[in-house]
Amino acid sequence: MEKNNSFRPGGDMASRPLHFIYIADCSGSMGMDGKIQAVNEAIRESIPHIKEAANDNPQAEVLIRAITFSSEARWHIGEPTPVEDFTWKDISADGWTSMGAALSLVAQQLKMPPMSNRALPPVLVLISDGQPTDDFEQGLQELFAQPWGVKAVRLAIPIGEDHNMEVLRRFINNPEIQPIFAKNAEQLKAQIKFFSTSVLKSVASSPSMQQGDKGSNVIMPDNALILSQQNTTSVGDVW
Amino acid sequence: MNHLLPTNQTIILDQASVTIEKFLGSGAQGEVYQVLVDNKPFALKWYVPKAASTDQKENLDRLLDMGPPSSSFLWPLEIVTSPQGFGFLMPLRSPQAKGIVEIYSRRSPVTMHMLTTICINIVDAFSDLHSKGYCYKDIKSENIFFDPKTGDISICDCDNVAIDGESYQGIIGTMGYSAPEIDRGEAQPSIRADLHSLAVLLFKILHLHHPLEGMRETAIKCLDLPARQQLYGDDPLFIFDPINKENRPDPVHHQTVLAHWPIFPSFLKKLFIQAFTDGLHDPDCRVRETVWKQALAKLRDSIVVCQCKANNFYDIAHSKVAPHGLCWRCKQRMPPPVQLQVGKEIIILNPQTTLYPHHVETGKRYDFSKHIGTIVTHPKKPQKWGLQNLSSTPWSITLPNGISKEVPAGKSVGLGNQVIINFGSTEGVLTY
Repeated sequence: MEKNNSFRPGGDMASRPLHFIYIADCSGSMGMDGKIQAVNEAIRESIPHIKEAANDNPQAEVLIRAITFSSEARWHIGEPTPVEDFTWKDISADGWTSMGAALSLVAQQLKMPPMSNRALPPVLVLISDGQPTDDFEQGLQELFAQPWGVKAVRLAIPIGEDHNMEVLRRFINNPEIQPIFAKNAEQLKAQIKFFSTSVLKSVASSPSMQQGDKGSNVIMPDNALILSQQNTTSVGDVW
Repeated sequence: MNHLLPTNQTIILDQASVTIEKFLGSGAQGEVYQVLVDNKPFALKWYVPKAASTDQKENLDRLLDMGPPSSSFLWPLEIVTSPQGFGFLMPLRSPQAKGIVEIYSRRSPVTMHMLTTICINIVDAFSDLHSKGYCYKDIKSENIFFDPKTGDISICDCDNVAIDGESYQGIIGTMGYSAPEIDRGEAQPSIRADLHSLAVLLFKILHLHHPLEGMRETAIKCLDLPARQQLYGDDPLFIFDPINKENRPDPVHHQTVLAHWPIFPSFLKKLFIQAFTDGLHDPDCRVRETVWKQALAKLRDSIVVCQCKANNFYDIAHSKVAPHGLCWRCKQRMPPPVQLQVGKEIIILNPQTTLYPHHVETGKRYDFSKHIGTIVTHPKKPQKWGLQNLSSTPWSITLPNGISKEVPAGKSVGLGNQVIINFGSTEGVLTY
């Protein structure tokens, strides 16, 4: 337990697991207009930023996983992986949009066990370009039947023209957090980076509070940066 | 990546052209960049629209008028504006400065001598601020950096410093550091609330653990905002409360603090107990900075280094290394340490010991501004120590046989039992 070659006793600072789970749509439509490539790139680029956020928060043990969903939902990276060991394997697109099944998979993993009875709020990031084609309600109910599902910080990034904002809002289920549409690859990268840095840090260690901040179970960092980008038109949108 | 301001570009603000070199970080209210103005490096904080209020600008004006309380503060230098908003320039942190998180993560080994020096400098800085009638409002490790060679500190995010007792908008603190009465919405930020945050910070640096996280923390499944509110605000209880043991550290999850607490001398433990029992509920009972400074200086003068290199503390009141006279690492009984007694004060000597005016000059209490003496080891016999005169005037020593000698500036005197050293305005006796 004790650190070697150290002048002081004891081991590491006490920490709690912080599960970060990507839930990525890889239905057929994601294969169009470069969307799936943009998702792969954006997640890959987020890894160094997650590492930095984890380094700044030794009291959080950041563990990353990913689910993909198309005609079925499956664990793409099923083992909770420490950030220093995490590498992204590209996903490809084909099939329908079984978002309900994806949420059901998440719910299974949020039961105790395998979920610890001592952790930080999990962070769930749902990326989707379309309507669920399965029983979304069933999956959502299963998620919210789990206390860890209720306590999780649920975030969503709609992409493409056919996304369903209402479904994503129901997943987030928090009026203080809105899904923010990623219009192109750059905005997708910015959004994922925001979630993997600022939001992750807010979960790991509470940020500075302002009056009236205590609405939900995590103080969310200001989305102003992301919102301000959405208002700019950019030439050559990817989709 | 997209930020508020474009990096690697020069932008024209109302006051000057500013070259944005790189993005440094973001906080609740805005983003910080490394910039050049007239080819000179600065840091620039630019507010997000929601935080760019008239109140914030008025507060900045006041801080500009006031000036920094000491060189430890990265203080606003100038407000810069554009039609899109505003921010301010401040000194850039030095490249070798490290965040307190480097101590928490144990990435770089830091001696107890350096840790206590950092703590003394932190207390000094906030004492300087408070003596001007201002409170910082958000004391926490993320806002503090240290030079790993000297222990000098830099405090950033100074734009929320406010007059004690005034009510205002903006930052009110950070959960875990903010005083319980702030968490409960019963009070506004104040100097007395800062003293709670300071006590938490000192405890965390010295123990690598939060003072209120014991079995009650382990019993919480999801440590989110409502849980923190309960743990730190609604029903806080010190993990070493002498009477109520309900929140003792968990023997499985909290081993690090269980390893640290016993090695500190009783006089320091007493202060943490005061801070986190009476001090939790009555802001007037919190430990004042002068008291922390006195205890931390004494703590630094209590360090004994074992042959196995572990840093221990000699508890003078109990005449043994805390807690049982054994080194915490190798469990060997530690012999009585080498001591220098100057007046009523006892300084335990170890290979890192530095003597300051505080130790040997009358009227210079807590003056750590220069090195007056340092321990040197014999090049061929490391167990033989000497004390080097780093002052500008000679010392004189008297040996037990009555013979006197001079120790000119720059020279060293070998340490021996009952040797008396005359430093000029004071005299010290060695026990070896």
